Amino acid sequence: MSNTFERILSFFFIFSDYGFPIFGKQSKEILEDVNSSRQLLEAIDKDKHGQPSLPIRHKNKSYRLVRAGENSLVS
Amino acid sequence: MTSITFAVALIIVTIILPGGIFRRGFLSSEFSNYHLRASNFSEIVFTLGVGMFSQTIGILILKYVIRKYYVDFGILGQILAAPDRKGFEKIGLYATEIFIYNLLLCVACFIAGRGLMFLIITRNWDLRWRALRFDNHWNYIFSGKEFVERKEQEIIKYTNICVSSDDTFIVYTGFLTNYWLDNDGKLEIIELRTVKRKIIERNCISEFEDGLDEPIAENMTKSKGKSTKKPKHTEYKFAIHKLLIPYSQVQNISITYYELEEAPKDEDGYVKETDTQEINS
Repeated sequence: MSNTFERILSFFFIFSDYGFPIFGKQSKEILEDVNSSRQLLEAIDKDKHGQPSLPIRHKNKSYRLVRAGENSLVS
Repeated sequence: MTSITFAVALIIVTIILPGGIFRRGFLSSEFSNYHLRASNFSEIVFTLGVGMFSQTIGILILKYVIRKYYVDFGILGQILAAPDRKGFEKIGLYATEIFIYNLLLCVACFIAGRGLMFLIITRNWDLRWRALRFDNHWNYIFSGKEFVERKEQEIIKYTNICVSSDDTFIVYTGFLTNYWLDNDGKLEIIELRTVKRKIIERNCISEFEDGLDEPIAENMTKSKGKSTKKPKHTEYKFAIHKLLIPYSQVQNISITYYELEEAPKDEDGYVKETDTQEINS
C-alpha cells in the first residue's frame, strides 16, 4: 500500500523516480558505499586503459561495468 | 462590472485556466525548462486550444453522461451581453456545482498533462519522434537516455570538466549527479560527486592536446618537429560530498556513459574474476 501511495505522490509531485533521472537510486547507493565506490572507480580506470574490469559488489549483488557511449561538449 | 470585464474573467477561468494547468502538468519535469512566456504566440494558442478542448469534453460529459446538469449558454450569453442581478442570482443557485465542475476539470487537465508526459518519457516516444521531444536538451545529454535500451537500466555518467584558470587548466573528474538551469533555460551549474582535480600547466600543453583526458602521454614530445616541455600535472582527490561548477567557467565537458549490468552469479553468489575477463575480452 505504501508503495502505491509513493507511486501516486511521485506521479503528481516527484516525477524523477519514474522518469529517467540524472542520478538514479542504484547509482546513489553504490556511490554512498565506500567499498562499492572504490570498486567502481577501479573498474572505470581499467576500462579506460582497455583492461578487463572486475565486478562491483554491492548488497549481495554483483554488477559489471559496460561502456554505453561518450559525449564531448566544447563551449 | 462591465460585460467585457466579465467576459475576460470568464475566458480566463473556463478556458485559459484548464489549458494552463494541463501545460503545467505536461511540462513540469526535469525534461522541460518551461517558463511562462506570455509573448510567445504558439504557447498562448496551445493553452487556449487545450482549454477549449477540455471545456468541450466537460460539457459533453455533463450533457450525455451525467445528464443531471447542463451548461446553460442562454444565461451565459445574457450575462455577457447585459449583466443583471437576475442572471447572477440564477448562477448563484448552482455556485457549488459550478465550482466543483471547474475544479474537477482543472484536476483532470493536470492528470492528463502529467499522464501524457509520463507516457512520452517512459516509452521513449520523445526519442522516436522529434515533434514530441522536450525543449530541455541538457537533460537528454546529461541523463544518457539515448543509450538506454531497457526501462530499468541506469546510466552512470563519469565526467571530465575542464575549467580554465589564469596560467593553468583544471580538470575536474567525477560522477555527474545534477545540474541547474537559469531563468532563460541556459546551463548554469553542474554538480559532481567523488571528485578528483588535476591541474595542468598551460605552457606545457602541445598544439593538439586540450588537457581534457588523463593521463597526458609520456610521448607527447613527438609533435611537429617542435620541442615541447614535458607536461606536468598533479592530481588531488577532493574530500567533499559535492562539487558545484559554474558553467560560465567551463571550457570542455567529456562524459562517458556506463551501464551497471547485474552480473550472473555462480554457486557462491558472485561472479568469478576469470568469467568477467572472458565477458570483457
